[in-house]
Amino acid sequence: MKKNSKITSNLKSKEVVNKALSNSNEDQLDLYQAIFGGKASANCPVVAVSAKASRASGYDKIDTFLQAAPMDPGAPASPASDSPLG
Amino acid sequence: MYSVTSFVLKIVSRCNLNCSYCYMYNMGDQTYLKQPKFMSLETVQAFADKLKSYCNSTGIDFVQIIFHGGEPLLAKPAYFEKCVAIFKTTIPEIEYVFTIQTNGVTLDDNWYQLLQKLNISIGISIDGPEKYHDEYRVFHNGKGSYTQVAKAIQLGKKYNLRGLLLVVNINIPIEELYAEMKKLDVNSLNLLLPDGHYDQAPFGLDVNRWNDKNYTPYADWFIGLYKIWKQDKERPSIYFFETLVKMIMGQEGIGNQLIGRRTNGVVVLESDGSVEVVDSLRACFEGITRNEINVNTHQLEDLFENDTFQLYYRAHDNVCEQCLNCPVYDICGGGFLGHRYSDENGFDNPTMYCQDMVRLITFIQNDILASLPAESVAQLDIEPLVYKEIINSFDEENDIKIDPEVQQTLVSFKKELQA
Ligand code: SF4
Repeated sequence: MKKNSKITSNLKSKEVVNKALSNSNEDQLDLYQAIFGGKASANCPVVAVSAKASRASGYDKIDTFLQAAPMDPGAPASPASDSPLG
Repeated sequence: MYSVTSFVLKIVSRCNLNCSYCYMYNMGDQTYLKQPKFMSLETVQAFADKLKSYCNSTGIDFVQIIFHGGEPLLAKPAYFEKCVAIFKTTIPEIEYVFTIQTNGVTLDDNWYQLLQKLNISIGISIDGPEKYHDEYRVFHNGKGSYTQVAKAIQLGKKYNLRGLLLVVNINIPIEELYAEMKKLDVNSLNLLLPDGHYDQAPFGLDVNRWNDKNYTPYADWFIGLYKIWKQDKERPSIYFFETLVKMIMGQEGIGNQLIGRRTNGVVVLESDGSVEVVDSLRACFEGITRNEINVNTHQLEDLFENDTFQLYYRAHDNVCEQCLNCPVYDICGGGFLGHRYSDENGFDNPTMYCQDMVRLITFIQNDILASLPAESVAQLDIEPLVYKEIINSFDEENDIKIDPEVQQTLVSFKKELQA
């Protein structure tokens, strides 16, 4: 039997991980929080998420193997802002 | 229907450097010698016309044009102005991303200003700190190019330098590499595995240890780098790692020709107008990408009938049986097609970096699980992957059988059968 290699594969598990990434202050999660757009804003999480989602749509829109960085038109060089897990 | 959105234009077929690992000049492929030195503007126009027809018939409204070489900055500044104008006037209705991949040695203020004006993003290739860079990325007289490249990178901070591209050299101590990236103040970096396959080991690999199930030199190097990177709160973006993390976390629809399960929507235009599959496949054997298709006489879609293109486009579905049964297949995707080649089996192999991919993916998955709060992990239906278990499973009977037709296609690419 093949093992599951992906951390989340359904809505429930995505919510669990999103919550952990949003709420934790642990140093060891800093990298993963940075990749997935940081901690949720306490004041306005909805706006934060919608901005992330709009950026995420451009991520990997095209093949990126041949170049130095992902090309997301209009976004800064760092791709570190995709909505994590949909 | 094939959806191709990235077009690599080999606008210059020569280079002012002579990198020792370059597949074009030093890995057995001599086809560049038959190419014109520069792609003519007539050829660019013919390509734009065919691109228009392709985009109109498929509804594609977003295209990336990558100016590549050889060294693309051997072309004149006015050439780039004319190229961009050709695309924008021939197909004004589509959205473009223009990129240039350069060795950086001639990048000065004038070039940066022009490329910025034309909205062409720049990627520079570098091989690491001076000592290592200058071992491989040398001018034709043998002199290293580090000084020029480092200067261009520093200058790029004022302009539209997008990021650096680095072919992994496992002989570079990772601390030295990371310190170099910090010194150059790099904010975005991508890592490439060296070209190579089962009959042509990439540099740095000890072929005597190839059958050792614990030998994962590339993964060991990546993992070392990942650990330093993770600790650094002011870390640069490292695209290769971030893509792996996202896929392991469960994000869908990402990946590229090296990892993941996406299709490979990339086509290369040679300087004579030939339309081909990505040229790094040429490291397998000379002529593998050759065909009769040219923008002056054909439609772009004619390439879609080509066997090599068809295999490459769906390379992450067209994998050997071991990959189909592998627990990390959805992340690794069997690797880059060119890395799977052997004279014995054609492409019916896992990537030659297979063990490295298992080790690296296992490490990242384990690290994410160890970093998440225990109460969150307890709610997930997931177990940590174990490297040894996966490697040992490759010796067991496979549950999933490969489609014989796919296998036959993979094997049919043996050099002797293609000759
Ligand atoms: S890790 Fe190896 S077996 Fe698994 S998908 Fe990648 S190449 Fe195939």
